[in-house]
Amino acid sequence: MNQHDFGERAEDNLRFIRSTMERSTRFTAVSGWGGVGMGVVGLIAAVAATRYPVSSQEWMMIWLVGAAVAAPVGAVSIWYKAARTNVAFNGAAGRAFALCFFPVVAAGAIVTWTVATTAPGALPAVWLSMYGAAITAGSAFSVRILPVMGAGFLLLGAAAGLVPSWGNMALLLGFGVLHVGFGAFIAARYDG
Amino acid sequence: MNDDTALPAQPAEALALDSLIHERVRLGIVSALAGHESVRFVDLRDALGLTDGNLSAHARKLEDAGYVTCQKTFVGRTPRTEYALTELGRRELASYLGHLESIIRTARR
Repeated sequence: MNQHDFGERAEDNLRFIRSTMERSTRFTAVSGWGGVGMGVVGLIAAVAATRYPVSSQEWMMIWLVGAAVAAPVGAVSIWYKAARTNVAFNGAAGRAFALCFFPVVAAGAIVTWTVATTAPGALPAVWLSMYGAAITAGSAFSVRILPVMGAGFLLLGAAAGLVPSWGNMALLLGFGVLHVGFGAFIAARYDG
Repeated sequence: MNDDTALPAQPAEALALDSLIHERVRLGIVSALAGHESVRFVDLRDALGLTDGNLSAHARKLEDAGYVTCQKTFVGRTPRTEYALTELGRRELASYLGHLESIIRTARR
């Protein structure tokens, strides 16, 4: 092996060190128990939306109230886990996660506002696919299981888009079952 | 990951490379720890794509050399293992990086 080869191998090792440092900077405070809590809220909303509403407006309000309750459950549980595990809530990884996750959620809110009046039957597909996209985007800077969870939401969003009458069932499976299932997995594997 | 991917130890500068850090898995461990005060076992394992046993074995070698510390605690009933780079480990990594840069400079002449 000549001097040039040694130089290339040294550069390869430097690249490896740099990429390892980047990979280790992940936001690991995604809370599994928070996911379970959000899932329970989703299940309650799904049952309520199936039983009680008499109009599409009431149906939508039930889900929006569910989202309004679930969001702080998720936020507080992430904050608590970050504090408990000494992960900087506003560190580089946390900021990167937030910058990937929240713009897609905001886009979902904007699309909801426009679709609600014109095609309310499309809302389950919009909510599930936007939330799935947000999770998948955020997963680039977080725990490794999140892309699978995001893909699950995207698939359910596609199913709800193809067959609108499955909308409520897809919402139950996504915001209820997927949240609870992946939340329990994350809690067991990633320390809460 | 194995020693095949690492630099061979033939020229004088390469001989000076710390063989403990030079191995790819251990190089990954110290690199991942370098940017943090401490890193949990599960996070380190996932960042490096290792099995539990592989990470434990290599981390123990670094621990024996005094390059990393391992702290085992309980959060409620859940055990938690955290690794941190020691001052000696940071110095050795810095020295290793210096050697790599030196090799690259020599190769570019």
